[in-house]
Amino acid sequence: MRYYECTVILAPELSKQQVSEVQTELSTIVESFDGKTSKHEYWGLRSTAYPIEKFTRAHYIYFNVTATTEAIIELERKMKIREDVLRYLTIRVDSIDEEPTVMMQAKLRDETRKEGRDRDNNRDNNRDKGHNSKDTKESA
Amino acid sequence: MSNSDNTKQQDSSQAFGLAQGGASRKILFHRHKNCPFSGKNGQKISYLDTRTLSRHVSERGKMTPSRITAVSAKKQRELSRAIKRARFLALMPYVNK
Repeated sequence: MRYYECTVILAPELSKQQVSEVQTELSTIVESFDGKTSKHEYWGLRSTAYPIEKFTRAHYIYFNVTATTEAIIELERKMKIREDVLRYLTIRVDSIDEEPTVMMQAKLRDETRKEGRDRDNNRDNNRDKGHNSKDTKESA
Repeated sequence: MSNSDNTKQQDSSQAFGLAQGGASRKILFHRHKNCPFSGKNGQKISYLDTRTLSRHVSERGKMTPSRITAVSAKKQRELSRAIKRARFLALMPYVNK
């Protein structure tokens, strides 16, 4: 058994649900060879640095694979046939890191920041309201 | 009279030359930069970390030579591999026009 990291770029026309379907399909291929996948990540519909097959945006998925070489060969063969897979990159690694990848960390950070901003905005609004009411009281 | 003027000029030009030499030597010993990826506290190189990788490419998207960034030879090889992988995944551009 060997460890691999796999990043797959999918066509942007797919819906979020279809993306997760592709993800499970790819996992079942690995599982049919007694391998296993872990750390499934969906980085979202990202804009690509250059057009790939005339698409400027694409879905990115990432997962770790623990499997034999045969499983990887079959996985790559299947991905080559699929038309919704624009590109894939499988890299052999020495060990699997359970921490979320940098991409996922950035995504999570953005989301929390957004939440924080919303919260701050709400607080500011409330404070402004309070201030206004005070003003009105004073003027009255 | 004219002779002494000439010698003065020569002297001044020589002095200038020396100053230049001193300046260039100063630049040579300016600072000793360390490789940001080597050592215990070195940053890890990952082909997904476009933020770090983009610091090692020019505005055009070309990789910056290690003689400028002071990355060690071993880490520069690792870095160039990571940048090439990131390019293949369209996380980074091949060329920035």
